[in-house]
Amino acid sequence: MENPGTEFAVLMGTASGETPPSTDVLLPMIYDELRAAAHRAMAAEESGHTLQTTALVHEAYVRLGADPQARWENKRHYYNAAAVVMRRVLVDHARARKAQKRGGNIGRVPFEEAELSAPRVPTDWLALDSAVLALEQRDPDLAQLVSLRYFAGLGVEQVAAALGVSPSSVARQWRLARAFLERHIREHEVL
Amino acid sequence: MSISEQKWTRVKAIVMDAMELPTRERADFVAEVSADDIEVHQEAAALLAADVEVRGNARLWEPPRATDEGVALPDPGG
Repeated sequence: MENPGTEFAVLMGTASGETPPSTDVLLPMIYDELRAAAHRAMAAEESGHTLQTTALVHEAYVRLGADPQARWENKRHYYNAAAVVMRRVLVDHARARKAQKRGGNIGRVPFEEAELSAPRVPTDWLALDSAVLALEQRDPDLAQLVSLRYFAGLGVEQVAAALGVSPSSVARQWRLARAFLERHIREHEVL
Repeated sequence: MSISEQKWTRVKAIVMDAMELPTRERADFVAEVSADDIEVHQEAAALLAADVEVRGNARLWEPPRATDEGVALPDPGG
């Protein structure tokens, strides 16, 4: 991929002014990017986590492709979609594990290949999700930045380009967002 | 605490400016610029306290990193 940006623009149809391709056409082309994002998301997990990267990317792939007629208008749209899906997959998985720990067997348990004996979820995705929801209510733009950074795994420069702002602005807002999330989690954690 | 959108905008600006300062100077700065509004002052002070917590637990809040197996995402400049 000599010039991934240009290639992406071509894939999206934006380089030539064409209508962006539908999801079912585009998804196979961006599978590697989705897998890379999954790797980044899973890098936040410690060893022993039950959700395998392959399972995560497959689930995200399926969900992104759920609406074959959906079209991504630009990179920001695609990154946001990937971040939202990745977040939902991780949170759903955390909820399923929590239900299993309580001895329940409610609903489908995804990721059959996952081992279910790991003692805990190192990253508390449920607490993080709750905090991001609170941030969405308070400041949607900050919440979007968090999703792109944390769930889509984009760097500061990439987020800046996707949002059309300066990297320094992203860095400042990212720091504020982390403080908001930290405060929310601390105030709502179960003692 | 639920504050108005207008106050939140002010809190954001204050906190982001304060984060540029050495920790020991922040309290005085916040007290000075939010002296007219106790809600703004308390919200800003709470977020700055949380920022100190975040920095003390940087590993937890570090965004996920790319791995060797990962494929670089498309250049956003494209």
